[in-house]
Amino acid sequence: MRLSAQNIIVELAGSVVVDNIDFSVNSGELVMLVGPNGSGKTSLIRTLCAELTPVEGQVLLEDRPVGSWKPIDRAQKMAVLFQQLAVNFPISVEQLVRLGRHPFHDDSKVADGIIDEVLDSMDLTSMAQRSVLSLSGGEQQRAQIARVLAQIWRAGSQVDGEMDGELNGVLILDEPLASLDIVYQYQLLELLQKLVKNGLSIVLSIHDLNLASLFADRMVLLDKGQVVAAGTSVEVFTQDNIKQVFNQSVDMIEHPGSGRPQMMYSSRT
Amino acid sequence: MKNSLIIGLLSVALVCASVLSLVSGGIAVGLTDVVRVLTESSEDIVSLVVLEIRLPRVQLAILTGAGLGVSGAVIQGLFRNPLADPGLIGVSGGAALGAACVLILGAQYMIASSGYVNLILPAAAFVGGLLATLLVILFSWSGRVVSVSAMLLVGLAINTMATGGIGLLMALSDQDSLRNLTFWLLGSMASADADKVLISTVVIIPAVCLLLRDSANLDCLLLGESGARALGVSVSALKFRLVVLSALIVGCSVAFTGMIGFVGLIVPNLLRFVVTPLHRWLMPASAVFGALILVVADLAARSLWFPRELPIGVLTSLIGAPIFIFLIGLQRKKGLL
Repeated sequence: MRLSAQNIIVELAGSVVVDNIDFSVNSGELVMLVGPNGSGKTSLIRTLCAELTPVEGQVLLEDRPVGSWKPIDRAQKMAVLFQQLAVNFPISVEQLVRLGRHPFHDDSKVADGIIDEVLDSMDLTSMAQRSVLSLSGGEQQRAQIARVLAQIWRAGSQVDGEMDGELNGVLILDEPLASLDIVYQYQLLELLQKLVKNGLSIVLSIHDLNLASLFADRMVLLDKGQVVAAGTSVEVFTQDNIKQVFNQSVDMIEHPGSGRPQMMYSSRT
Repeated sequence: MKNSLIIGLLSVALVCASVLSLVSGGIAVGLTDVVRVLTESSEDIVSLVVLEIRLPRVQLAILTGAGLGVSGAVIQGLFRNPLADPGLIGVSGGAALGAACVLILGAQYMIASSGYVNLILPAAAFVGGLLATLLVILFSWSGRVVSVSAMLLVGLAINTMATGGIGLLMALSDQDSLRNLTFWLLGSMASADADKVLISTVVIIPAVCLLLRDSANLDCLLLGESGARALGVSVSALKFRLVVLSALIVGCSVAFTGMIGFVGLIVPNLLRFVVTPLHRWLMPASAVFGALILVVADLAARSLWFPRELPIGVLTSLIGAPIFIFLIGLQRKKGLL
């Protein structure tokens, strides 16, 4: 499923936070938004899922403006993970994840199967009955990720081995790696790659540029609400771009396995 | 399984408490008497006491308690905060001001002594409660965004304004109407009659049923407004329904029974220890538990200091406030406050 934005300008409290951005993600594509704090990643994400309305331009899901979809129909096609979701009530991990099936009216057997699979994919099976209030920050993040995965999961999608369920939807994740330890960061990105191979379209924002370079099909580098560079990691993740946007000197090396660029901080001395 | 068991147990307790309430009081009534007057018509004193005095009290306590319990659960879900209360959005204050106007000003224009006072007083409370809610909506809703903090602050302002207005009316009033007003403000089931039961039934039962239909949407709201929208919930329409329906319930109960505090707050919070916080279970459980608490509180209010009667709102506040403070302590311990 295609999600695209054409020349969108978004204002928040009188200032321009997204400045004339073109964006698209297609079926089977994993696109990562990178850029410094305040560069407009979250604003772009909130605009893509119709939480913010552009003052100019428009966002299209398939061929219809994303805001004109009936909420329930849109929720069946598009799942979104927002940042910092605190749940104030002691629901269990399983109950939280089951909220992801809210847009669907599947019978409980199908839902149970999906819930089991996504809990397993996020390594949460053993804590399924625990209250979310008792979890650590990273565990809560995994539970929230499992919830949005449940929303785009289809019966038959298997984590291990080849998936045979065709996934037709969009998954938007605002900093999904926040509070995750290195193992879960890597596992999640591997899982997302598998989902993309099955046809899902994924947009996410990320701070770890090396991980982005390794896993992204395309990277979009933002600064001050504008796109500085977009394309493959080789095109975007360059010494010059990092210097320009982050004002940080780095040395680049080639990742041995994939040949993709990786950065190291330049020596201070 | 556990959830339905608890709702079942609470229902059994509610039936027992209701029967106990029907047989208890100044005039001794046996269980067989209750069955007799409920099943066949007779005009003796027992029949009069049970049907005209005790039964309406029990019925009104059940309806009001169920309504306050459910609207408490709903408002807490709406604000995503277990310490929220229907009184917070200003409905109780607005309703009380409406009723006070009738009691004090109405006395001078003979309304209070006319035969219609039973209808005018609740109607005024009702209108006051709804006006307060509309004012909250007007000042806290802009476009598709509803600001919860603005809503709370406007609710606070309305409650303060209502307290001031009632104070002003009290200063202007004569002894009789002052006493009426004071007693009503503290909350009481003493004025229950068939008319009030009928109107409460017509307002509270449909409102509760409509709220129950939104239980799954309320669960989604636990993720915040953006989170709920991403799950396909039309959040603004949902909030509108929740606010108006709980305003109807709270307005109606304030109208007929006065200010009965803390029921909406305590009931869902205590239940969350034993039933799941999902609204599909929490709301029906809150209805039954709220009804149970008010039936018991009413029985206690008229038995503890017999033959005098304590205002029921005094009882719920004296017991409810310490529980409220305990809950705040619990929230702080969990780092949520």
